[in-house]
Amino acid sequence: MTRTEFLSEFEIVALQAPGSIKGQEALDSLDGWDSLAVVEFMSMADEKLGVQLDPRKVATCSNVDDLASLCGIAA
Amino acid sequence: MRASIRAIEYYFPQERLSNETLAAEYPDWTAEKIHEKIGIDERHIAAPGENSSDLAAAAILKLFESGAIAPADVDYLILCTQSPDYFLPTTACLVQNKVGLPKTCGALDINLGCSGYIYGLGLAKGLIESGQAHNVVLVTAETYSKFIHPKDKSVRTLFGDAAAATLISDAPGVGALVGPFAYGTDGSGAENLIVPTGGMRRAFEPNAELQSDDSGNQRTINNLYMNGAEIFAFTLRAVPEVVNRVLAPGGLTTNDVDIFVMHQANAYMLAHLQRKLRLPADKFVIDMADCGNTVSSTIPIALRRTMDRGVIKPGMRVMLVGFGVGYSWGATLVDWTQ
Repeated sequence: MTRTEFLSEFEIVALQAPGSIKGQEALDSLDGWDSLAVVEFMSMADEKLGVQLDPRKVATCSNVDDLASLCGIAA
Repeated sequence: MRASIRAIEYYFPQERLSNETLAAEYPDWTAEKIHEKIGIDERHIAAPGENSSDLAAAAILKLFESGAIAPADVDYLILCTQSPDYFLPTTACLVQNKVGLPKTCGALDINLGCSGYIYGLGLAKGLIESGQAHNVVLVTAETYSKFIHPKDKSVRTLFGDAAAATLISDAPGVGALVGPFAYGTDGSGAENLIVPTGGMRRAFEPNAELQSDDSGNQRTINNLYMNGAEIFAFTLRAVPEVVNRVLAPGGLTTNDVDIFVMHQANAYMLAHLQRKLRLPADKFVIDMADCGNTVSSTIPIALRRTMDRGVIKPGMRVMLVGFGVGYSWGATLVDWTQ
């Protein structure tokens, strides 16, 4: 998955407008990034990247790029 | 002598909690969004004063009314609940009296959540096939709503109250044979689905502080707490493994199973499990829209409804999988011989 594809997936999960997410956005600034979105993000990572994320590591991410790094997506 | 499922009945309390009602209370969610995210439209909620023994008794009485068995022929009652009427006495003893089971009947509670139906079936099979009982009623009953803070949408949207009664008997050539079983336990996940107070370790706190989480959900230490991300991660680890552990010893694969009835946690999680296990949609039951996650009752309710729809036919092999609070999980096969 490319970085662009990853950002598109994130936008779907976090209910953000297509093309609006660049990577530096703080997660706590996004209304759509709630506990349900975290589960959907983990589901996406498992299904589309084959990565089973540790929820504790997801919780330490402060912005979208941190999530990308956790999933092995290059900046 | 082999243990087989002979009949299943279930009972919902009358009061309903709809997505429309929840959306009115949680302005950032719509009824459609709740349905889209978790696949639930409404849940049944036990009334004040209506407790697990009441729900359990109602489900068992439906077994009697259906003609599946007479009270006098039941010789063991297994009641699964995590919301008992009392610490003591045992809720199963209350239910024995309420529904008029013989005084020669054994009765006990087991404290398990979403895996409870699998464990209950395993215990019933052991009682029957060791000759200790002929007709076991396994009743699952929960009133989780009484643990839930009204401002915690993370769990209030999910859980509903219900009871289900299953008759397991030793009658030869009748019903659905149960087994083999596989179980799993990992208490390191205890804090991820918990009611922290009310037991001996930490007493109920009448003046507990209201706390908010990052998603805006509010609860006190006396309420049900669920870390959804941790539960999801646990499920992804546990379910594929236990499915394989039931099938592999018999040389079976998922292709040899006709229908999968898993714990109806929420539709989103189930859809993910279906894809992860590469199971066809027509073999995978998702049936919880009108009742929500009823904890240990989700499997018998979904199983009975699948039977009612005529999906389960003679000779079919059905897999049941339960997973959740504890962590605790288990799976079994049910062969529908008639």
